[in-house]
Amino acid sequence: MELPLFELTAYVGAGLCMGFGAIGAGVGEGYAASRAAAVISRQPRAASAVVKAMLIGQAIAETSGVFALVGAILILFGASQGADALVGAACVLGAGLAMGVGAIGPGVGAGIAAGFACFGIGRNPVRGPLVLQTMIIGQAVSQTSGIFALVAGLLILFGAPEGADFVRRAACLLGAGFAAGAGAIGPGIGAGVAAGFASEGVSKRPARSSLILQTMMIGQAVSQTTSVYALVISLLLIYVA
Amino acid sequence: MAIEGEVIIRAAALVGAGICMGFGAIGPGVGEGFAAGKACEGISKRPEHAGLITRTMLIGQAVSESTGIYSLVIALIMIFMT
Repeated sequence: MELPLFELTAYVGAGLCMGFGAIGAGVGEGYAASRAAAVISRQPRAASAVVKAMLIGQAIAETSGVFALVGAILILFGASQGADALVGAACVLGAGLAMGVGAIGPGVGAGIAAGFACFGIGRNPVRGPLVLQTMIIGQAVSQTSGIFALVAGLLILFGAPEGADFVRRAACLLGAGFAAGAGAIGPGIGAGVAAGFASEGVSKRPARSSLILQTMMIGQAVSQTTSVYALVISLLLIYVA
Repeated sequence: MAIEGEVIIRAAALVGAGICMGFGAIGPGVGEGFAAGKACEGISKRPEHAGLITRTMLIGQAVSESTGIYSLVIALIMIFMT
């Protein structure tokens, strides 16, 4: 029986992409809602400011899940086999892993940041806009590793170079997908935790917000380095190996 | 389709390089982010010690980075030297 390898793997890849991609946004947004509810129970009069901040923070956490959805749709409807079934199968599987697993960390991280920020705004609603600003900047850094993974996934799916060595190219694309995807987990979560503590710190000490923001960005930059390593390995595997 | 031994060894090394760097990026990312967060909290409590706190954070993050570097090195070895 001749297996339609490409079609089979495309369905698996799209499933992995959206399956993994739903984890981060779900966990993160739920955590944000839990912290928002907790602080509203302590400070009911701050409810409207807290809910507004929660919704904004959850929307940013949702973006990585939307990227995974777009990736899954591209795999299902936009991918073609190319020259060889094995390479085509590795393309869709690698892209699915990259875009799916790569959405976990940023989703969780942005949600953690939103949760801490909501808690801070509940305790200090007067300085709500400043805390919100810190949260958004921190969440943006947390999303960068998810963007790296998305870019790598799109390159695997549409931008991989042609060649005759099918087994080697298939292995490269699979390895690249795994590197880019898993490489976004840690930095996404870490940058989000940093943003969360920084947002709460700004709510406690708004006068020193620029110093806290500066420390947050330095710390987040160090935390993002391993996602850059993973992106570099992924690009090396796609284009050089 | 016949796959020879040497070809599949090279293929395994390439997939392994991806797995290596992929998993290796998780730990330092989470750890360094947590360190950054706690440093921000410490500065919010005692802003006059911001320089000391930031220095301590960077030293701790550098130590946490070491295993990430190991993963990078092993992944590069598997790509270029096998």
